[in-house]
Amino acid sequence: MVFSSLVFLFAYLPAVLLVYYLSPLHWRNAVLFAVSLLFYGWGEPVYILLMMASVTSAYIFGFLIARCRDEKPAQARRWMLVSVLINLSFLFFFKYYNFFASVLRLPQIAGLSLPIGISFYTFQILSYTIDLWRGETAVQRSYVAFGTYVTLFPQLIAGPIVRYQEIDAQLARRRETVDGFASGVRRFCCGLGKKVLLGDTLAAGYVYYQNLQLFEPTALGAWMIVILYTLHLYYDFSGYSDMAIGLGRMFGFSFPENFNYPYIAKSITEFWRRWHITLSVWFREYVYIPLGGNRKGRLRQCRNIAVVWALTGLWHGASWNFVLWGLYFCVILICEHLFLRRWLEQTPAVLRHLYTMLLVVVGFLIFSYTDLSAGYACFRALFGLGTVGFWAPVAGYQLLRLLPLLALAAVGCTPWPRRWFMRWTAGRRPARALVPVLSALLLVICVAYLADSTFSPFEYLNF
Amino acid sequence: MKFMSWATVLLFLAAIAGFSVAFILLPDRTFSEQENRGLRTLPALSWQGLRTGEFSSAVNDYFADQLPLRDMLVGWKGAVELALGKGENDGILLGAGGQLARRRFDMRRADGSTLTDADVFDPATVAAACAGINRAAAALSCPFDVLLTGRSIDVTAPAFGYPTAFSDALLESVRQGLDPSVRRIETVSLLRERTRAGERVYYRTDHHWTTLGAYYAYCEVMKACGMEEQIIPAERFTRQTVSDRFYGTLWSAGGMKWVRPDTVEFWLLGNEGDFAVTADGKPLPGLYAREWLRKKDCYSAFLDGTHDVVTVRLASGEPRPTLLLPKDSFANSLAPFLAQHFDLVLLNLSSTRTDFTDLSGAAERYGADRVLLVYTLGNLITADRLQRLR
Repeated sequence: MVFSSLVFLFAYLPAVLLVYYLSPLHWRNAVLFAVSLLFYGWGEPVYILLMMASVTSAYIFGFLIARCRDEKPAQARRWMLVSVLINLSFLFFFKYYNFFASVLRLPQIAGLSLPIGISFYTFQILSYTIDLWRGETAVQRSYVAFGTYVTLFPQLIAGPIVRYQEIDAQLARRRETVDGFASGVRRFCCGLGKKVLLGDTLAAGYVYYQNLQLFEPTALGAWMIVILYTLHLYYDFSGYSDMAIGLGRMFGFSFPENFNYPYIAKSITEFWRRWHITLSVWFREYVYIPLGGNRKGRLRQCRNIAVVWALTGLWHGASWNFVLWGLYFCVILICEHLFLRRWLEQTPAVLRHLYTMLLVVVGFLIFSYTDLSAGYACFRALFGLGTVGFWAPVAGYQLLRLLPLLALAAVGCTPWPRRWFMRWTAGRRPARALVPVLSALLLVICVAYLADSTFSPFEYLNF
Repeated sequence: MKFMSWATVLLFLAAIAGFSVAFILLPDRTFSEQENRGLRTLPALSWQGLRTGEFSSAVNDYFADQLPLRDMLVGWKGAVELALGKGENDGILLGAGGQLARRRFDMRRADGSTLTDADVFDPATVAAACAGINRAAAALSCPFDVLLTGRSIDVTAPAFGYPTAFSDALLESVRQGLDPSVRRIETVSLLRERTRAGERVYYRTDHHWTTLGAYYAYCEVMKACGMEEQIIPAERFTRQTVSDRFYGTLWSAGGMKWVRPDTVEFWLLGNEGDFAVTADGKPLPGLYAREWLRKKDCYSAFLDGTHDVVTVRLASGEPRPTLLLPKDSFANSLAPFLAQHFDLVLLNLSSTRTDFTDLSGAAERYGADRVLLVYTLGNLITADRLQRLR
């Protein structure tokens, strides 16, 4: 099930809220655990078993790690590695087996589909196992609480990737308040609007230009593809993260932020501090720093960046374009680290921003084409190569029709709208009174879009 | 702060609970007259459906179709899309004077796959359709004319400032694809000219031509048949407005509820009672089925809408040359004009029940003296019927 569906909004969510708030406090985790399994099983009931196997193994190994941690650290380390390997092997088998089999010319397994959200929940489980081994958290004795942590439906299928230590205390005790619920509602409606009104609409424009490029390729068309895709991906994914964070608040949870206006970044290093933050933090905490981070010399640091980016690329999908995408950012980040950063500091802000966005846009071009040759054709078309020209009448007509949407989407990526709104409502009670009405209105308009469209893809579900 | 929070929470809960409760209480509808299509009902639960995800996607469709206030909300969405400056909703353009036209089609590719929501066309599909027409032309022993009618967008493009580049390219590939021996009756540029001159030759809210548009096409057909001198002048018809409440297919699909309805005209000569009309073997009251005028789909008043085989003869039994029309719905409003000169046999090429692609076989069976293919470019690029002609 996805949040931006009518079934979720008008059947699942009201029922879950009702049951949750009618339940006594000590039952609430159990309620969340049960309804989260229902949420997951709605599209793919069979893979519930796989997820439960992951959860159960990490839960049991948690006790073994905790028992040995103080007296027999070597044994605890072994238990930790076994637990990590079991969970990674599930991920590897379902996500990467066929890819590596094709590379190594081994027999492939037909009909092996990717369990939804496996990359997300596996990383959450690993964070528990590793935090526990490091002694940064206590063992979770309640199976229900641990199961709730992993399967919690707001963040189950597309993050944010919540590290165990961030939520441990909230599992045991959390306070559901009206203010918290209200802020959750605002965040959820805002995210739904971002996803449905902008993300999906931008995606439709992107698909339109892709179709057009098949028969009348132009440089304009190629630029529209990459720009629309770049904007779409932000609204799609950050909108989904907003909905997750908002839903979490409705149930008294506080999840970490996942986006911080990535498209205002002035370097790629900064961009990655602002985009999919919880994934970057995960890799920093569990790969980059354990490998030595930046503490063991330039060369080691470059190696560590390379390892993290090879993994980040592969995390997004078992396909060569993701490997290339990881490599692409790895090279840029190393260059920025070694010398570009110094140059950039002396460059006017507008040029730094342009530099960053150009590299980001090309990066998402690599990201969006699993077919490398089609991606290369689109890249060439950006420079007018292999096209019928820079411009064609229908491509231009569509651009004019999309300009207001593009302008709105571009401004929406910046902190300005929020800033303006805060300034406008500061000290004005009547203006603030509009907020509840605006939230509800936004919800209803999104419902109108959902009712009229079957076109609501969600990119990050596939990772 | 507390008050605002309560207000936010209560409004949100009221919205989602309101829809849920209305959903449960209101009975399911099976047909939407506004959208002119059947609505999906609750799917049956099965383990197989649950396992493959088919059940959950069917439930999603069910929710979308049975959503309370659906018609109103669809209109809201159309309004927001236009407020965003797109000038269109769901592939339907809104132009000057409330003119609508479908711009995006589910285009068929030569390999049989479909490219959804595209306003391009696959030249290979057009070539294959032309090859089918050429094949049928070679097999027929009687005179054969081809009238490929324009889509609304081909004719009314000026109302939207929409470039005619693809329309022109489509017509050009048809021209190149057809054998020089196949006689093609060209109406698109003529009707586009008439639109520019301010005449309404296509409906504003429907994808068909108006009776005036059909009359222009009739004149072209008569010229192609070498019967120019028998054309009945427009002023001899009594133009009767039979409906001013016609909300057509484009209105249904575009979600722009504020667009005014069309008017429908019958052009009458007073001899309409002289014709005996049958549809799929059963007699019809005549060329026009007026009960459709009370419903939303007024265009179906011409020849009673969709039937596989329709015949029009003189009730007196006096024989006339037989014109066989393999066709789609554009021919329905053209037929009353042609009926003044020919006995007609109309075969619905788009039928899913009967395959009418064997034109020479049909010509023989119905004793046709001439064959006139009437088929829209919209169907040419989205369906495979013409490719299968023989």
